[in-house]
Amino acid sequence: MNILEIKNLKTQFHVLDGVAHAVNNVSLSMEKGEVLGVVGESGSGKSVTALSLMGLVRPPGRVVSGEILFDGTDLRTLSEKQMQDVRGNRISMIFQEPMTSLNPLLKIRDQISEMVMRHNSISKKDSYDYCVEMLGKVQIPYPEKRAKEYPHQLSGGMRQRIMIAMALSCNPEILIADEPTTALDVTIQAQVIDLMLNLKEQYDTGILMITHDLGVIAEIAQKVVVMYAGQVVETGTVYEIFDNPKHPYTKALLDSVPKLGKRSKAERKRLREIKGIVPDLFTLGAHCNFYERCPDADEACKRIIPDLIEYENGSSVRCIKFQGRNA
Amino acid sequence: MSEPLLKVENLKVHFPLDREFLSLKKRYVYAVDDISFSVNEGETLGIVGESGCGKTTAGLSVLNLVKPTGGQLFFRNQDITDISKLPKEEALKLRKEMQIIFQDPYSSLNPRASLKTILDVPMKIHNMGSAKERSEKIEYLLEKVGLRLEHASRYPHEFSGGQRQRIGIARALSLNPSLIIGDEPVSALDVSIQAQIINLLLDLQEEFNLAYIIIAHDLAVVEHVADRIAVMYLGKIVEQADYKDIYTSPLHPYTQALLSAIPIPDPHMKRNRILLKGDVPSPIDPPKGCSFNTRCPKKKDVCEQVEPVLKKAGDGHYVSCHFA
Repeated sequence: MNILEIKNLKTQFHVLDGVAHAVNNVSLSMEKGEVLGVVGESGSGKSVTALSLMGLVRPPGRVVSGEILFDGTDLRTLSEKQMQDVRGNRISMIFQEPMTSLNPLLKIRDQISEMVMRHNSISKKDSYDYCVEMLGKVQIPYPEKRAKEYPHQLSGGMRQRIMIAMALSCNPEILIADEPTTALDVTIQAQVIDLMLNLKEQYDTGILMITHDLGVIAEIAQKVVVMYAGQVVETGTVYEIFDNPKHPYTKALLDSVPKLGKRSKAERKRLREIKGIVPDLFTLGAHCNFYERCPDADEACKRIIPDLIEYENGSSVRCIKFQGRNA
Repeated sequence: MSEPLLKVENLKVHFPLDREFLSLKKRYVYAVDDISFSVNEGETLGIVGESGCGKTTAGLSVLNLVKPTGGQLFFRNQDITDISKLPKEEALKLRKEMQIIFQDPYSSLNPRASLKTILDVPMKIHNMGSAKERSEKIEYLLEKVGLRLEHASRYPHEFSGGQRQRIGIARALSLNPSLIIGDEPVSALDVSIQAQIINLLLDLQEEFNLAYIIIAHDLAVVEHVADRIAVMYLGKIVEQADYKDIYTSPLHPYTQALLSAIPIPDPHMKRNRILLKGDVPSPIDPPKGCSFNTRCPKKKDVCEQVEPVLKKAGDGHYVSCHFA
C-alpha cells in the first residue's frame, strides 16, 4: 500500500522575471516504512517538492495543480487548520541547516514539548519527561542536562539529533529529510545516518530522503527518484539505478563522481563531465530538458517533451530513446 | 631527489582569545599546532580533515595571509615565514609564485569588477607586459579555463557557480605561479560541475607543471587528485602518506574511521563502519596526550598521558599513534 502518492504536482514561482517552473509534473509514490531517496542537483526541484507536500510553499510560490495523496486523502484539499494536525504529527520534516531550524530563544525541551503538546493531550511535566526520553533515543549524552540547554550550546551534529528527536516525537508515518547531513562532517554524518536507520526500524517510519549525495542514497534508500530541472527523469530500486541506469542524466551523474578507493586500486580515470549547466527554469523549451547537455540527443529530442514511461512496476524513465528494459 | 618547492617545518598558528573575566591565563585557539610537510614541483598534496581541524588555516599561513605563530616556511629554499619582512620587490616576486583558489566562488570575486578587470589587475600589479600583451594573455587564459572571449566584459553575477570557479582558476593562473593552493575548490559546486573543475585542474597541472595543495573534506575527491595526502585532526597531522597507502592501508584510527564513514555510491557495498563517538573537541582546550583520545576506539591509558609523535611507518608513510 502506498502511504504517499504524488500525482502530476506542479509548483511555480511567479516573480517579476516570469514564471519559474520549479516542480513540473512530478509524480512519485512511497510505500509504508520505506526509504525513498530523491536525488538531484541544486535547482532540480527536490526541496520544493518536499515543501509543496508539507503545504509550506510561500508566495510568490504556488502549488498550481496536482494531487498529494497521503493515506488516501489529498492534502491539497485540507484547510490550514487540518493541515496543522498532519504537519509534525503524521508527516514531519528535518532541514539541512540545524541551526536555523531551531528557535534560538527556546530551551530544547520547550521546543520539543511545544509540538508534543500540540498533537497529544499530555501535561507539560509529562511532555518534559518524554522529551528527555526522546533525547536519549537519539543518543544525546546527558539528556536531562541537554534538555534544559539552548541550541547555541550544542554542536551541529547534536542539533541535527535534536531535529530528528523532535521530528519523531509524534511518531509520524513519514519523515521528510531535506539534505539532513549535508552541513555535517563525515564522521558526524555517519552517526546521523546510522541513527536514522535505527529509528526507522524501531518506529517503522517511512523516510523521504532528499540529497545530492549519491553515496548517502546508495547507503540508505530502497527506491530512488532522480530529478532534473523540476522533473522526475528516472525512478527505480536503488540497485536498478546504480547498476543499470537508464536515463542519460542518471548515467552521467553516476560517472561524474570520484569513487572512494577506485584510483588506489586502478589507474586514475578521467571523470566524466556533463557539459553545460542546468537549464533556466524560467525558459524551459518544448523539448527534453536534458537535451542540450545529453550525449545521446538528436533532432527528435529537440521536438518532443518526453513522458515518464513506466516500463516495470515502480520503475520508469523519461527519455524517448529508451526502448524497454533490455534494449 | 631534488629540493622540494615548498617546505613547512613545525608550523604553528595560535589565535589569542579574549582573557576570561578575572583570569590571568591567556588562552589560545590552537588552530595549527606543529605541522610539517613539503610539496615538490608539479606534485599535489591533499590536506584532509573535518571542519575546525586547521586545514584552511594551514593553507592560508603558507601564503602569509595568516601570520604563523611559530615554525618556518621555505619556498625554493628561501625563508618565507614572514613575507612582509622581505624587501618589497622580493615579496612581490614570491607572491606571484603562490596563488590560491577559494571555496566560495560567489564571495571571492569583486562584484563590481568585470572579468577582464579581475584578470588584468593582478598582472598589472606584477608588471607583466604592456596593456596589449596583458589583454592577449587574458584571451589565452579564458580559452584555457573554458570560458569564451565575449565573457570578458561581463560581471561576476552573470556567471554560474562553475563558471565563477573557472574565473578564480584563471585569476590564479594569470601570474604563472608554480604553486596553487585550492581551499575546497569544488565543494560549493554541484556534482556535474565538480567533475568539470577537477578535470580542468588536472589538465592545467599537466600543462604548466603546477604544484597543488588541495584542501578538502571530501576524501573521494582528494584521492582522485592528490599524490600525497596529509590527514589533519585538531591542528595536527595525524597521518601522512602516498595516496595509495592512505586508502589501502590507513594506520591511524582516525584515518580508518574517516574512510569508513564516507558513503560510497554503490548499494552492494556493505561495510563495517567504524562509528566515532561524540564530536571533535574544541581547539581552545585540546585533550591531554593524544588529541584523538576522546573519540578513539583503540584508546589505552597511555593515550591520555603521552602525546604521540609523527613516526615513520613505511616508505614515505608517517603516522602519529602509539599503536600503529
